[in-house]
Amino acid sequence: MSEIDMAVIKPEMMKPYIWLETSDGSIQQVEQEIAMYCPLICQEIIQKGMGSSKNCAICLPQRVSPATLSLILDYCHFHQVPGRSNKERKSYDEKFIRMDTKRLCELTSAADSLQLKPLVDLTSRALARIIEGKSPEEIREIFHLPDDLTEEEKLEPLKNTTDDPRIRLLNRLYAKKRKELKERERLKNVEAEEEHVDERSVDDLLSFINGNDGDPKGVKTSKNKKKNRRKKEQQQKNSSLKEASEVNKEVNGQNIRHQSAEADRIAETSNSHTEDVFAHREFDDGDIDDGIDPALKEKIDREVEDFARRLNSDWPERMQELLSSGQERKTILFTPNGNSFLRRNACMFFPCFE
Amino acid sequence: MDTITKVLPEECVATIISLTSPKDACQLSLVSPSFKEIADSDAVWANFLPSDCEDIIDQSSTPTLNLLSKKQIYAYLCDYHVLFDNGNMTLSLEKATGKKCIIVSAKGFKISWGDKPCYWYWESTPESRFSEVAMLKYLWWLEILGSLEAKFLSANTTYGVYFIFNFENHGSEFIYLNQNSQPRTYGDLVVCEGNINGYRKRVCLDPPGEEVHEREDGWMEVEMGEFFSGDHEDNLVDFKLRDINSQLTHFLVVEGVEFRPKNM
Repeated sequence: MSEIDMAVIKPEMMKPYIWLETSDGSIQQVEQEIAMYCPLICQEIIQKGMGSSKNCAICLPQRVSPATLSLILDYCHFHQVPGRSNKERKSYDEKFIRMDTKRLCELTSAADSLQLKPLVDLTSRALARIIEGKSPEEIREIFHLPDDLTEEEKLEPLKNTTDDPRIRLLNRLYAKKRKELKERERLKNVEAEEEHVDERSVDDLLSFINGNDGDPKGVKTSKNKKKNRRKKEQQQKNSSLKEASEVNKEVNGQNIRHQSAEADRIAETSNSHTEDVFAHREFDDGDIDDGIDPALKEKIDREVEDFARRLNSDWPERMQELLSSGQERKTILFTPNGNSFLRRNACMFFPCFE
Repeated sequence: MDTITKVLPEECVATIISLTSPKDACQLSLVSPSFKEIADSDAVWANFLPSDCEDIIDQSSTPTLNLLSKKQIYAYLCDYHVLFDNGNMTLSLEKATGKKCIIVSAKGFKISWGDKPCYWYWESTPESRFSEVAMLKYLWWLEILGSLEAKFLSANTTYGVYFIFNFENHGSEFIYLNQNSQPRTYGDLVVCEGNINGYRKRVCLDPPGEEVHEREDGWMEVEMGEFFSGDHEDNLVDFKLRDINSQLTHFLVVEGVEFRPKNM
């Protein structure tokens, strides 16, 4: 800015108040000294000469609501006073950021749009502290996010560099589930309402149990399982998740904490029958053997849901255990061209963070 | 719907995530697709990697590693290492914190009589990460000196200094009737910073004393001492292994010295 500019602007700068317009259209008067603490407002005043009257009020970015503006102005009001000690400022800051997460996010956003870096740093650190050490589900709860990783993303095939039979199994199951998902997508328009949350997986579960209880050879089990897979029903997110988690439990039976007796039995029986069950690729349509007591069904329902939820939160750790156990340490785990796989699953290269 | 990703711009979310930890970033990538994109981005992971990491990789024996995403580089360096400084040093990362772990090879040391092939010879072995290890035939005067500048390490971290070695013929496999007749190899280990005298400790290298531990890669290690890397890059840490008083030492194989962050 040249001296001439300064001379011209100076009379304006003598005015103690400027006008700001927030996202909802309301205009308010603010002490210039305080508002100038925000680089963006400062810029608007000096470079564009705005804000001197109601008519040319400075339009604040959309992200600044009146509520957040008042918070920001409080902050500026305190900090623009030069005589305060670092200790004072720090203790003010600590009290200042005590607010609910939603407001903290809005505040960060607004401060960012006004380029008020010290406040952005303060709020970012506060949010980082909130996020630290939480599981994905807890984070979803805090920010009210839906669990919307699609089935497909959860069912990405794993790279099987050592031809581990367990991984082969898992991939086969994933491929099957992805195929079913696609069919389900097509039928989604036909089907009207949503049924019980995870009827299918419960069916599978129970047929598995029933099949294994009744038939030591396990052939009947596989047939029941096939029949149930063919059954066309509205499938919830959770059921495919539970299937995947069920299989994960099957292949990793030794490692996983057992949630219920049924889950126990599945693990034991599946370890001996895995190859049989999944050897058959052809499905035959048959009657659905559904002679299950509804009360028992509900109970199993709940247990499986609970178990799957727990498992889902351990998913990356479990998968890494799966990948690293039984493999040589020196095996190269990435290939130069495996971009998409690695990008999605790089987190799986982390052995369990204890 | 007011979700965090709609309220906050991506750069803000990336900044927030980079203020957490690598483990948290992995957890966050499981929250939702939009979070995943941000949590896996280079903007976040570049913050977890050491600032000079890219340069080190560029000058290393595997510069193509820089073509991967920052997250992939981080994952790679946690389990493997890069060889740099003409193959004299390796860099890897401590998984939880991203702090540097450096191993200096024996080639970077000053070994007394090390250039005399009748006493020491240099060979490449498949177990070593370096092209050559120092192998001692026999000597009454064992003295190995080395130093490292703090600029190679992460700042403000307490590092443990570990001597990595092995013996070709493990005396411990033999059972001696008389304990006193079993030949022992001792070492005096010293770590000091600048002119300050560090503490010295005497350990029995073979048969391995209590302080000697077996490493995952098959070598043995013994802690020589520790030091705090502080702020100044010019700090120099010296380490020394000496055994000039006792009997004949032989069959010692020296891989190098590792600097590893200590979790306090």
